[in-house]
Amino acid sequence: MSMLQQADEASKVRLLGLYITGGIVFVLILLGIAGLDTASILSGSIRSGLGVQGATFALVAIGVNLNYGYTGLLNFGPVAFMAAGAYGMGITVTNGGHFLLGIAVGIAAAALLALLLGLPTLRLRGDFLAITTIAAGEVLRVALRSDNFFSMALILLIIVGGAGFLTYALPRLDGAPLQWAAGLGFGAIALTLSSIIWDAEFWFGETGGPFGVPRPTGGDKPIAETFYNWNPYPGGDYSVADIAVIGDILGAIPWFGDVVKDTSFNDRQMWVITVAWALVALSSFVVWKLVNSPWGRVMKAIREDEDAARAVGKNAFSYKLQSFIVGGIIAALGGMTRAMDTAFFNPESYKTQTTFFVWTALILGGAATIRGPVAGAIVFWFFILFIEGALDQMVERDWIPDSVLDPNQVSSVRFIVLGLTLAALMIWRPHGMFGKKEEALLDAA
Amino acid sequence: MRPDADPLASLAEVRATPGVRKPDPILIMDNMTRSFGGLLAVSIDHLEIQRGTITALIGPNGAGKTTLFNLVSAFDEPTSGSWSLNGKQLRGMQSYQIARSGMVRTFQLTKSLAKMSCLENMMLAAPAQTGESFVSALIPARWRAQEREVQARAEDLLERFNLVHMRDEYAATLSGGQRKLLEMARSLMTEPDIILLDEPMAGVNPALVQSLLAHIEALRDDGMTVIFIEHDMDVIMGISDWIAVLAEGVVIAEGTPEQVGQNPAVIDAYLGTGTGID
Repeated sequence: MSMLQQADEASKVRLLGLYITGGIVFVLILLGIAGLDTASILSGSIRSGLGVQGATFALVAIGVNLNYGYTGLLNFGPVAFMAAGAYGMGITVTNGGHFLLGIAVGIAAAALLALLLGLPTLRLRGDFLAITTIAAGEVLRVALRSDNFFSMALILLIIVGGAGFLTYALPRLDGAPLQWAAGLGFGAIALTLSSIIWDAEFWFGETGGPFGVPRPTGGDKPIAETFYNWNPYPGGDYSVADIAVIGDILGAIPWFGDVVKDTSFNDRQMWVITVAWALVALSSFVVWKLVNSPWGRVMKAIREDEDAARAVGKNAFSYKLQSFIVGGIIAALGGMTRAMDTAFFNPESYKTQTTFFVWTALILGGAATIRGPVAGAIVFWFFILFIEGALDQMVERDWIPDSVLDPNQVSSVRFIVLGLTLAALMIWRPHGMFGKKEEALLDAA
Repeated sequence: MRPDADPLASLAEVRATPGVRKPDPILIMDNMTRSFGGLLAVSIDHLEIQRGTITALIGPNGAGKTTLFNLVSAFDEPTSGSWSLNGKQLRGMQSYQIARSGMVRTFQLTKSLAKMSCLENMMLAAPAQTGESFVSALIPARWRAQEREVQARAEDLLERFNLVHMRDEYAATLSGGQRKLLEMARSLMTEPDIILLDEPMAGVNPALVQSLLAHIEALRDDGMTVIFIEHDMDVIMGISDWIAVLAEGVVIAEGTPEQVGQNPAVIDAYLGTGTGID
């Protein structure tokens, strides 16, 4: 790409930023004239975009970006990796393990999940992988609802491992009778093992079933205790308005001063946000280093054409697995950080909805770029809260009658708007905010 | 790598019969079959490829030429049989392992890596890159020097294939013929002993064909072994040292271009027996 094209693209991105900002200001003015509390809408949106939600989703999106943007793997199961991280850590800590050990276990759980999921499924291509990963995420969530999780997990392991073994080994056995014998024999062994495990009710640890971690029945060590013991922020609320001189000046500006003052986080949130954004910076740096190395070149080659990579001596399967593991660990970091914020989680925290949010954020920001997933996550949560804030106030003031939209339905409507935005994005800017337009065009060709 | 005797001269001694032994074979196939359901696409009793020569693999459409390429490069698995490269058995190896052991292939439908620059396409293929391991990738000091060497070699090859002006362009922006060139140049980055070209001339304009032919002859003169699938008879007769003819998956004839050109079995395979009895 020539310098001229680069400059051109940069100015287009700036122009887009201008449009978005202009659009927001315009809507705010309209809402303000109409009499809504625009300062609180705006500050709520900023709190979400730059806060815990923006940061944790940015982390997960960075992981998915490594899978999809750079390796071409349609990983629709990031939520499974978030769950693996959170549960790995949560169960370790509630059973008295140290917090740092918990983090290690969470990361290991994500890596293990990547292996379990990857070994049988990474032979699949494109949309088949998407279907399998989305199913795997759901299977994991449903399995977690059972309070006898580990027996379930062992059975799952046998089935998944067995499926992998069968897809790998069967075609290599000569003769149909031998294949049938192997398949049936394996099925019999799997069934027997599963029933033994089920009866023995192995209880290695407890997920709390539908109630989550830590269990409401008590006795568990709080999962985020150590984390908040390390909190360097003294108790209280923090906002830019608290900073000497600058804060005073900004705070004195009418309207804008209210926004600045309202955009505040308490000490606990500040600590989570600090850690989360530090992890975002670290992960972005690592991914940036990786994709600009020969390792990243192989990844991109696999994204473009797996067979071409194989034909020049690259072990595509191994690289896809590596991408899955690294991306999965980054997503698990996101899952663990989010668990620190809530200090509690249950299987319902890991619905497929989260997966789609992450994907929307990634597409919005632009896949196969370093800034894309981060900017996408911030903008995504900014808009979600913006729409919700504005609609909430409208419903509250009865501008919209309850027969059309009652207060409980607002949170659903924001997703309708979001879906429309995503559709519009796909039509007019498929490469997202920061993606390279030429690359999107090459894809279409 | 080059044998003492001139490989071309020693071929002249070889009898033109299917499955004949050659003085210095690099690639040997034995009893290779591949069936798709009831169709036996490839069935080769014995086939040897002489080192340091250009061998053309010809035959009517559906003769099993590309299937044979797929089999020996492990992009497909044979129903039975074995094959060896430089005396090393290849059965059971993965395609990337075969590429690493010195046999590289191109594809009939060109596989250029669209959203990568031509230079990146080339640099990808260099063998044994330190920076391709996860840990080393994060420590550029370990691979920077090698990266410079790889780039220099890639640029040399791009120069040889008249692609150096497209160096930083996306491979997707190349013309069909240029993509063929790029894929061939990329394969050479792996420093192979033997290269399998699947219809390298298809869709390439006549002027470029001449330069491609010169490249292929230059490869042979550098000691490389070339097997190529082609339909253009002028090209085949002009460049090949040896021709193997496939029809319905079976090697029906082998020999020098002159011998094959006069072989009645070959003419039958291409034109049909003409009697209607078949």
